[in-house]
Amino acid sequence: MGNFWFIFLFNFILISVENSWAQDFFSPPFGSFVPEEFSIISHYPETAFISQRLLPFSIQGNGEVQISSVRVTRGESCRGFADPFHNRVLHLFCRRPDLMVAEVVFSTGLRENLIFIIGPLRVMESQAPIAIEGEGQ
Amino acid sequence: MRWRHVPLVGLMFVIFQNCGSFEADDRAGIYPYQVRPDFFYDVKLLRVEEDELMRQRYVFDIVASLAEDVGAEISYRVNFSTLIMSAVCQSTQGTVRGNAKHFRTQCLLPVPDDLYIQLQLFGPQGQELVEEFRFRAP
Repeated sequence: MGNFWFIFLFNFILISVENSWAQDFFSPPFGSFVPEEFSIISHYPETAFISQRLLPFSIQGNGEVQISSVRVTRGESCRGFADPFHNRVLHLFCRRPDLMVAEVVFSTGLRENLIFIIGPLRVMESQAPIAIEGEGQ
Repeated sequence: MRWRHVPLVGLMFVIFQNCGSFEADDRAGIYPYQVRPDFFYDVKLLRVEEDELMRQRYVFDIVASLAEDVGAEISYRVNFSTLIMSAVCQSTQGTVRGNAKHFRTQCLLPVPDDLYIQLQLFGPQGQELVEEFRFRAP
């Protein structure tokens, strides 16, 4: 019977790590140090932040980068995830206009569990681009 | 007697594996790229305006970037056609970089019809993308 409880508890912990409340628990403390040589840059200008559009961001810096998780902490219509093909890229997405904040946990060759906070980003229904380059007839 | 736990362990294993699909679920229906993309891009139909002659003006919001290099300058060309007629509107072309990665273009169709857009992107290292989109007449 002891084995049963051991297996139950072990699996409970494994499953819990996947849950958001457990991610909070296991997250590094607030204000975790991110080396200055790393920065996060949006692929698109802010005017392109509109709903129903995938918004890519890249972590820039020397060395290996691996994104562990992308968690939206504000903006209930929004989602975030790491790009399946590019190690340094993550995407944010809002189904409707929203104010979004996301937490990105990533590792480098030397350090683990570094955190970037993205936002708050205002995602609108539409925004006029800064430059309108040529228009079809 | 130890083997009696095997089904239970198996069940727990299956449950745990299912939890691993959360991130894939987040991507489902949102991530459009089937293979490793050279470019990130989006073409969004903002609105269709109708004038007094019943002609329809399609207004598009477009953004594009090189996946591996945020700062890279890329060239673009947007072609407009219908199923039976090519070049129904003048093509739009230019370069995108910095804040000018986000631009608008439009096409005034003489008669109501489905509009096809061909987006061409060219990267600095010879990367090339040709993607077609169809927008149904309202």
